[in-house]
Amino acid sequence: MTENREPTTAAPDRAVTMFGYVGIAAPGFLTVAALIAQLLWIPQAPNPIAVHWGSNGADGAGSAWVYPISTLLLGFGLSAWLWATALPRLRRGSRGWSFRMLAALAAGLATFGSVLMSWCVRIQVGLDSWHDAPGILAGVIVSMTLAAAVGIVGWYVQPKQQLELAALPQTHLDLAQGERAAWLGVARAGRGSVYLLAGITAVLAVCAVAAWVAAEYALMWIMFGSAAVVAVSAMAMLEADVRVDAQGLDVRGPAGWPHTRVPLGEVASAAAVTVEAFGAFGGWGWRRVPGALGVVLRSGEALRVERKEGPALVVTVDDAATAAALLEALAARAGD
Amino acid sequence: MLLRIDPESADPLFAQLAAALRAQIANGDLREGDRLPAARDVASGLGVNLHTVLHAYQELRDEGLVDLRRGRGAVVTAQAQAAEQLQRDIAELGQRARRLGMSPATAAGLLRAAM
Repeated sequence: MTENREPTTAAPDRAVTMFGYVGIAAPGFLTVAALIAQLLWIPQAPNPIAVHWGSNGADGAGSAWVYPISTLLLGFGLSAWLWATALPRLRRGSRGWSFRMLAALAAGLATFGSVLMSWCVRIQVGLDSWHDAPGILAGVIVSMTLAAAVGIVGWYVQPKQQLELAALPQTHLDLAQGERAAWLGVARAGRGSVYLLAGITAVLAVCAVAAWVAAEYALMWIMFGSAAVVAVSAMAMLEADVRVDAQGLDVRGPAGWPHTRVPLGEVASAAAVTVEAFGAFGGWGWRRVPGALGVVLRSGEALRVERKEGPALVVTVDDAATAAALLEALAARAGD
Repeated sequence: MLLRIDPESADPLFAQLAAALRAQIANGDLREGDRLPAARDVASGLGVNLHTVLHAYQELRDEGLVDLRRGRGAVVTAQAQAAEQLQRDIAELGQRARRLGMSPATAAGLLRAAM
């Protein structure tokens, strides 16, 4: 294994700059503009102001503060998070489809929030009572259309990002002709994910019990069902058995599901790499992104297997260098 | 964990497998509380009979290095930690014996006599 991909270190390149414009600057600008407009219009609107619409027009009123606060949350919530977490990772050289996606999503959300919230305030300027507020269907359609347009433009102005996984030091392994070898490992989730998933399951279970005590049986079954669904999917998120042997690479979750494999004949190359779950795959779990299937249960060391054809398989597992070396040695021997 | 066996070697397969696992315990790759891979997975991974793997696991159990429990598989015991420390002492001892020009057979004989 001599392949050694250079991590992208070229100082602020287009991917980072455009991510900043689309995911942070544009939402910030839209949000501020919408806030200024709303603060100018709110004094001229009725108090309380209509904040909820049903099929027969406005059917609920409340404090006008709802609008600027919602605008701020929708418009800059995701961006603030991207600013704090994704931008530093991009600057350090992480690249992936999900960065581009999240920036476009942030721009779209900010457009939706700014336009719709401002629309709701604007149509009430000069009214005597919130009961007179007209319908907002047009506002919903306009804001959604604009949001989709901004999101799409935001996606395309950013450059295409190749999945970038920095290579770790590789090892080499010699196999004798008749020798048999297998590498067995377990991919495990980080402690944080374990606590999070256990917490969600516990909260749902407690809610189910509370519903049972309150004799709300329909609610009880919904909560109980949700807890079961979370618990079962959590199993797949927590652990996966990884095996390299003469058949190739085999990855399976608890009780054999989910399951994926790369037959030895399809292995083009294998390497130990380092993965940033969020940046490369947009999160944790069994994830399909362009160019790769990821079994990403944590960030860090991972085995990447490139196929002769089709998407790569990336599994986060300790001692990936040994697994990669064995897979390469087995493939080389089978190819002789 | 990497496991290698050579069907052409004179040593029986179960002994090779037990030796490979013992080495992992001795060098600290397997620690107290770690679970050995499921015997079924090892068997199909290495293309050997399930009983060969179970035989190897039983050998390690007889040495006190693992606990075999129904449903829980083979778990490395506290004894294994001791084995790891002993391994280090023995490595040192081996070096001294070599420096003194002693044959491996003599050194092993001395060790056996001391126990």
